[in-house]
Order: sequence, then C-alpha cells, then structure tokens
Amino acid sequence: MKKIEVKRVSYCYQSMCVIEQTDFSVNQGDFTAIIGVNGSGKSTLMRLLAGLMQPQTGSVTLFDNDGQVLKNTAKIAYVAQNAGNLHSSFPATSMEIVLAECIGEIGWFKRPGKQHREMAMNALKQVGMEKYANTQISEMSGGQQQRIMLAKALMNQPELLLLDEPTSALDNAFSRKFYDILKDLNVNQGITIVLITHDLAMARDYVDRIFCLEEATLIELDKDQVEEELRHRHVHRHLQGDN
Amino acid sequence: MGNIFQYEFMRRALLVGMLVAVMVPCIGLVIVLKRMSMIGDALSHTSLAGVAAGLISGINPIASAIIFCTASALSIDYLRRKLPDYAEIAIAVIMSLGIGLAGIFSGFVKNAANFNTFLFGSIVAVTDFELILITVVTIIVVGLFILLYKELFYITFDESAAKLSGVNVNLVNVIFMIMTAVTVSVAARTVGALIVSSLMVLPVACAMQVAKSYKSTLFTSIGFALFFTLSGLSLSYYLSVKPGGAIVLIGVATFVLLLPIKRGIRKAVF
Repeated sequence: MKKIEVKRVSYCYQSMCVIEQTDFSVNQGDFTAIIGVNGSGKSTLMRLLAGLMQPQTGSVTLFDNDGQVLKNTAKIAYVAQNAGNLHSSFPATSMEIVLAECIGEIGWFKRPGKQHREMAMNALKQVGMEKYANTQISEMSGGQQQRIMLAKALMNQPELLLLDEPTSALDNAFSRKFYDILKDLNVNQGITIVLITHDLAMARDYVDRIFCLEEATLIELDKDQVEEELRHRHVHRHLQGDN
Repeated sequence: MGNIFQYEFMRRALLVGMLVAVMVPCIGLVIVLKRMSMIGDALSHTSLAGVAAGLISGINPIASAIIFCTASALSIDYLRRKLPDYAEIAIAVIMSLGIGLAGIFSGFVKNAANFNTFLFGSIVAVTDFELILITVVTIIVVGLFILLYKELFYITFDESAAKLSGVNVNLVNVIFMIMTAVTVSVAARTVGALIVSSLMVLPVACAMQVAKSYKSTLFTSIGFALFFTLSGLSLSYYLSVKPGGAIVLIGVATFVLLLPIKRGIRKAVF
C-alpha cells in the first residue's frame, strides 16, 4: 500500500526549478533515503511532503493504514535539518520539548495531563533518553539533542517520519547509533521513514530504497549498484561514505 | 526620611511596580527567545508618539499609546512575514517611524514636562484611572499568557513544527503582538519609554543564567523583575533618584554578577 504519492510536482524559486514534473511514491513500511548534492532541492521536497509548502503544480497525497487520504497531521512527524542544533540554547528540558508535540491532540487552552507525560516518557525511552527527561537541551551533546528531536517526532506515534539530514552534525559512531534507532522503529513498529542524507555508507547499510534528486528530477537507484550509478551521474564525489 | 510605606503615593507605586513586574517578563520571555529583543525599543518609541498624540488631542496618553503601539506591533508582524529572512528590518523600520512621529508630535505638545515624564517614567505619579487600567491590563495579559502558554512555547521553540502540529501560528502571533503592544504602553508610563525594553529583557537574561527549564525561566524572570522593581523603588525613595533608572541599573548589575556564576557552573560541568 502506498504511503506517499507525489504526482507531477514542480517547485521553482524565481527562474530556477528545483523540482520539475516529478513522480515519486513510498510504500507503507519503506525506509527510504533521498540523496543529492547541496542545493539540489532535497529540503524543498521534504517540506512539500510534510505539507509545510504547497507544490506549484502537481499533487502530494499521504495515505493512512486504510488507504484513506490522511487528514490527521499527528500521523506525520517532520524533523527539520539540524533541528537539535537550532534550538540548542533554548532554556527548556527534554520533557517540555517532547510534550510540546501533543498540542494538536489536546487543543486550545488545555494543559497536558498525566497520560501526555507518560506518552512523552515513552517517546524518550524509544530513543534511549529517558534519563535526560529533566535535563536542559543546552546541556546535551549534538547527538543527544538530535535524539530528543526524534523523541518529539515520535510523541504522537506517527505513521510517517520525515527527517531532513538528521545526522549531518553527528560523528560516525553517533550516526550509526541514530540509524540503529531508526531501523528499530521501522522494523518493529512499522513506521514508514523518509530521510535526506549525504551519508551514502549509512544509507547503503540501513535503508530499503535510495532516490537521487538530480537536475530537478527524482530517480530511484539500484541499492546494490548505487555507487556505480552515482559515479556515472557525477554525484558520487559530493557525498560522504564513498571510501 | 520616613518609612517607604507611610505615603499613599509610594504604596501605590509599589503596587503598580509589582503588577508590571509580573506582566512584563511573560512577554519578555517569548520576545527574548524569539530573538526579537529590539521590539521593545521599537514599540516604546512608538508609544512616545502615541503619548504625544494623546497630549495634543486631549485623549488619555496611555490609551493613545496603546492604540499607536498596537498598530505598530501588527505592522511589525506583517512586515516580518513579508520579509521572513530579515525580520529585524521590520523592527528597525517601525522604530524609525516611531522616533520620527514622536519627534514631530512632541514639538506640538504644550506641556513639555508632562511629555518628559513618559521618557523616564513616573511610577510615583500614577493616577486612579491609570492604576485601574494597569490592573485590568495585567489581568488580561497574564490571563492570555496562561491560556496560550503551550502555543506560545511551541511557536517560540519552532514555528514550522508548531504549524505542522495544527497550531494557528498567525492568529497566536497577532494576539501576542497585541499583548506586547499593550504591555509596552502601560510599562512605559511607569518605568519610562526609554527603559521599558530593558525591563523586558533583563529579568529574562538573568533567569536564563540560573533556571533549568522553560517554566522555571518564566517564574525566575518574574522573581527577578519583582526584585529589580521593588529594590529600585526603595533605592529611588531613599536616595532621591529616578525610579526607572534605579530599576534598570539594578537589573544590569544583577546580570553582570550572574554571568561568571553561569560560566563557572558550565566550566565545572563540561
């Protein structure tokens, strides 16, 4: 069953089109990576998928488990590029940050209850950060901050997780730990994951499908032949993990 | 010199100071964390234009300052959305407008001394009407802040994520800008238009040195604002100095004293 369906989508910044007449689909349970050189439009594509931007032409459709068009935004979680670093000086604890995500469920003028705190604690447990519930985010490392952002995304038990370069600020060991958590969420909880990455080695080791955004078009690569295909497309040297 | 509480005007000044000290950090916290600290300056200059317009036309100066400030705050919000990458330009443009209008209008004010009290505040000369106005405004602003606590937290933390979670970001931002405008107008009367943005930023800046969470930063900011205001008023009474200046200087001194403490803690931890 399809989880995301992108049909003939275009998006241009003034005269430069970063996405042009692109078709793309992700099936339920897929763990998908989108790669591409800097400025190729990967983040724009992710924001289009998340509904933060509207395509200038074409359509982006998200489905739930029954194949119905998804209306509940709580089922989609989006983590922006360097989300942890962007808020690293914000004076809030992990619990406060993760709890913020229940806002859509509890509505205006109400306060989070005991069940919301339990949900937040469960989300922190999923990323191994429950011990840091009352720690201020500014006192954490980049890897820990990124895991808090992932816990925040998991707060509402999403069906679809969209991550924009989640490990770009992390070293190799932390990246691998982060990908282990993502793989576990994908395999054991059935969460469909789409992420943008420059890290070809991680993508090759963990994801099911790899797409390359090149010249405003999204092309699916053969995962086993990914390096050859990228070398052929002259993209390889711009990505990490090619040694 | 007698006890500070023996005079009606001082008891009233302390009450007004406490109301402002509870209200201003609620706004200041969001403004500082949104990195829009200069908005207090922009609005307080606009409030001066409103005060001058009020004095010329015979309308209560605080009421006219509220009208001018609200229009300016909404204009900043509109320009900020039009220029998302250069939000500070919106603040600079409105601040220039405020200074320009205040400069021209002040030339037409007959009682210049009355206008000058708004520059550095006149907390000890608050009238009955102004006391009622400040009380009502404090109840409304603090009440709205409590009701919109989680929405303001999320928008301040990450506006895009808040939007994705279903928060009506534009509506909350407009409500918050009106709350800011009203707060600046009222606080300008008490501590002075030139000092109001300091009172908005300093308690929050001090609280951020010691607090461990968003909630504790809020309560600590209110605690610092109460301390600055009450000690500043006492100092002004016993040393015969301007209360607005005394309040802000105590705030600056506290911040300077707290800075090495935070550095020390960080050094010890990391």
